[in-house]
Amino acid sequence: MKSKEYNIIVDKHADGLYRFILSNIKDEFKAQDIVQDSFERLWINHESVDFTKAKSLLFKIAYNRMIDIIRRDKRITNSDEITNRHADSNFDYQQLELREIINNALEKLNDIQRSVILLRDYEGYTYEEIGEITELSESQVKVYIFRARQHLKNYIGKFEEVIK
Amino acid sequence: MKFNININNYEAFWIDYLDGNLTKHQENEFMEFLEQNPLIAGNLIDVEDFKLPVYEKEFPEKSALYNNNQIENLLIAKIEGTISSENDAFITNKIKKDRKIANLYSIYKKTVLVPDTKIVFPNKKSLKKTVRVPLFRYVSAAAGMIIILAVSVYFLNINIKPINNETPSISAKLKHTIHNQHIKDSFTNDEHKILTPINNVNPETNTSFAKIENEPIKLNVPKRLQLHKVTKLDYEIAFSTTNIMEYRNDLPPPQKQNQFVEYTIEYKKSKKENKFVAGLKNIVNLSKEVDVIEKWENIKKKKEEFLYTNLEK
Repeated sequence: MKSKEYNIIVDKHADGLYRFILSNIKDEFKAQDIVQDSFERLWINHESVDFTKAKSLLFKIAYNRMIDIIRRDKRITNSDEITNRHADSNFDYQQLELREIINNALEKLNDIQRSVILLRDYEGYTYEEIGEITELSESQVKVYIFRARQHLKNYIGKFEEVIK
Repeated sequence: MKFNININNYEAFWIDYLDGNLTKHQENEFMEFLEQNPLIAGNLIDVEDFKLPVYEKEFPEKSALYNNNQIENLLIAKIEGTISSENDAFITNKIKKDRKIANLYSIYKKTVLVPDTKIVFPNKKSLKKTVRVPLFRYVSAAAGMIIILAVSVYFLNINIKPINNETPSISAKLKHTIHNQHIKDSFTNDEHKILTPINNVNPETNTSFAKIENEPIKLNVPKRLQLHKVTKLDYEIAFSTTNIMEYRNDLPPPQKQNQFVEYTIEYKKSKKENKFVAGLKNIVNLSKEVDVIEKWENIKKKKEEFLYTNLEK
């Protein structure tokens, strides 16, 4: 991939990657760091990367980096998270819009479920491509997406029952 | 090949089974797995339901036998775009007829995440890269060019021989033999219209002057002379010929004889130009040509002027 092609990847996918990471970790600065870092790594290897595969590789790098950060942060702030989740149960559902509800529902998913469904819906990846990025089998990807949709459905359904 | 169907991935096989995407071998393995895990099988479908496709045509209320999990599987497969046409027709019909399923489908549709395009990476420009060639490369390239230029100029100049110790020049001698010349005792005036007899016999020597009229001169020189290593196109002409002839009246006219006309075209380099500038011009003019015919016309004109001037005298 030439430097010009690398810049095309930046133009086309920087925003999508940022949204994907941000939707996963809900931290703008960390998301920006991950995106920056991922593009940096892509640039270092750009001469050996095929342009057509660059997007998948970019997301794979970013995904792995994000998982590392999530795991590290979980070890540090595990107790805080439990407190926050407990507080979540007191949400005023009626004040939330659908996007916020879905965002909250996304937070309830486990990391892998969230990632695969975001890759599926945000970027339109196939099960096979998601499998390559997340290093899961195609079957596993299907299962995770299936379960993620069920969880989201339950969460949204719960909200809809409240506002009826 | 043995497929590793387990508690973590059986749903994928279940979806494929519903979609009719499993091979016979996979299907057998999946059934085997369900037999070994009756709780999972019960959650997915009643064992009896597996026999339903066989009785499909005979049992119009097949849909009533689907449990909620199966319906949800089909709804998810529908929004994922992985549902078979047969199952799609079935679930679409159910959605139309059953309000509860329609509501469920509506909620599932909301699970399709839509990215918020307002969220953009704040400093995209910082991610972009430009390949910069280090400065020393430019410097070395420029130095190389200068060296090549200097060497070229030097070699283009060494063939220019100086004349008068200062002015380099190049000269070309053009020699022409004039055949079939004959003497006429008259010549045309300036307008070439009226023939005027020559009647200026010198009584002392009993001789007359005559104009020698040559046939049209065809130059035996290259039509265009390539300029090599010549800078300034200033030229000087020099010719020596006797076109005015004095002959004795009491003797027969002289025999025809060949005469030679010799001209020298000399190209001189301008004195003011320094060697480096001249060399640069040489490079520029290397492929250019000088029009010798044009020069020759000038020479002829000067020659005629010379002739007439002398005749009049």
